[in-house]
Amino acid sequence: MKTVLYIEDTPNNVRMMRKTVNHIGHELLVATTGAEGLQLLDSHPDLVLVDIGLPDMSGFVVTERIREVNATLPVIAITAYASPEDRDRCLDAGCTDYLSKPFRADVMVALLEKYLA
Amino acid sequence: MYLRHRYIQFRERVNVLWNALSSIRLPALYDGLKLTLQTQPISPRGGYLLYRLNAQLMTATTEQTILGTIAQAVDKHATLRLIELERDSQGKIQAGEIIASRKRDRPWAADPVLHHRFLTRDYPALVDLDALGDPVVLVPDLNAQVVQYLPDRLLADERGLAIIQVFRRADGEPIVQALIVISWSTPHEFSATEEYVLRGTSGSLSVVLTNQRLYQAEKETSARLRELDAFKNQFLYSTSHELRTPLHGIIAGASLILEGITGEISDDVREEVQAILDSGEHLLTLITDILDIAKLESGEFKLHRERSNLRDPIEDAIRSIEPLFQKREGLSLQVDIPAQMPSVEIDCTRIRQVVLNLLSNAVKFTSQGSIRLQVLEKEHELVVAVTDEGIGIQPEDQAIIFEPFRQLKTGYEGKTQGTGLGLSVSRALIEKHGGRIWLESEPNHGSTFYFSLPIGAQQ
Repeated sequence: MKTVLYIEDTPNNVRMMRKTVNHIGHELLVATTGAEGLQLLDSHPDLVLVDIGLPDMSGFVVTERIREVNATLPVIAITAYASPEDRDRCLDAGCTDYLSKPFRADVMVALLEKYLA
Repeated sequence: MYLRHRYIQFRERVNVLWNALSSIRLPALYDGLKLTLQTQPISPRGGYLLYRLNAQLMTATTEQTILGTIAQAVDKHATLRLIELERDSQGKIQAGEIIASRKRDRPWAADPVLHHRFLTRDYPALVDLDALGDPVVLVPDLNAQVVQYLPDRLLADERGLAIIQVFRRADGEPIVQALIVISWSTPHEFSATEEYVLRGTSGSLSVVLTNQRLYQAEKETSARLRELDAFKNQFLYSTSHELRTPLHGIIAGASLILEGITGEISDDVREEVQAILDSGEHLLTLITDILDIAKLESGEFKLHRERSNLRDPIEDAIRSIEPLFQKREGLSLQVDIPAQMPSVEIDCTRIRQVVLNLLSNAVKFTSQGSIRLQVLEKEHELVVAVTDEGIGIQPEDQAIIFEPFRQLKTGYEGKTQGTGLGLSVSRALIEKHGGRIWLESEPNHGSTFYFSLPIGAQQ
């Protein structure tokens, strides 16, 4: 069983993600702010999913902070900002991958399996 | 001595000529401005001052600069005010407003009567301005001449007065549009040079003030347009984000149920949840297409072009559409891409979008048979062709099918959903790449949609 850290402040999204992650046999840790997410890095997650529009700091900043301490941890940006420019910005900030909302559960499962294999 | 004699002779001749000319009053010169020739002989100093003043006036873009320029022609005790006249629909002067004022050498920000508006009701003499006859009225001493041209409040302690009328052409006779009032608190004897310059500047002021108004209006319009444009872009960007967020609840939630993540469901429930998911995805496509169209039409849209193999985006699109073929029995896909192709400079994400759009349309309008995707190499371009064996497109529809939200005349009622905006977006995207998109179709025998991409110079 692996651990996925999801930094996201919308309860609906968190609930659906928890069901998806649990369904394929992994554990979901949740942080509702960027600061909380950075603290939870101490519990050594295997994958980080980060929302871009967080209440205290943007997902870009969170990713940059993660990259200061960990260069290899996979970080996937999950956001409703869906333009090619947004995608480039996520990748430039150091995200490993990018998924724009809305997405189907099967797409999320495939992505989780790719990074948790 | 001889030269001096010749010079005086020359001056006299000019003056004779000038006086002769001065007896002619020109009713209107260019663009309706009224010009009265001067009765004084040419003074070289006055001529030079007037020339310089007019040249500077032509570059004035604000009312303050206009007044500042005229201020150079009068002594430093003078106060200058620009009064805009308001007329009713019959052209009668109704009111005046002081819209700019200054003293020579310093902008006079604290003028107590600035923006003072006076009505003809309170000041009937204002109406007579049109009847003054002379565009420039000079009054050396208001006390000596019992004439009141302007409201008491404006000229409480003033004695010397010059009024320059500024004309505007209004479908025919030029009318007085504004006044430049120069006043002194003591009686003012106008020197010959001063009079010459003030009289001579009335005509150019009409042009300058009209231009200044146009310039200001233009400047305000373009500033407002820039603001609106920035707002529109921000609006589109936020709209996309705002619409996607609730749509995520629908699409992710419905697919979560269909994937069995929330437990077993009956076929009945599956059918309905699938309908929710399909509608959600249809709505997402529409939202994406509408925003793409808006961006493409506003010129905001940028392609991210890279030299790449056309095979990559096509195969990517086929991967996305394959699940649809698996769901539909009796429908097959044939792909025919040459092993060797020249590379093209394309935005792979966008070409994938076009291919996916053409393939989805083919699937949507073909109930049985095969769909074929071919890439053909021509002399200067690569051509992609997507052929279906569907219902085909009526000739009258072929011309409008690439236009946004056009209702096609024949064929699809009640059977399948329309093509939405996909083809419009595809056409714009292909044209952005310097290519063309077109179709060939025979009703009931299927259609082929083509698009071309220029090969361009190899790097």
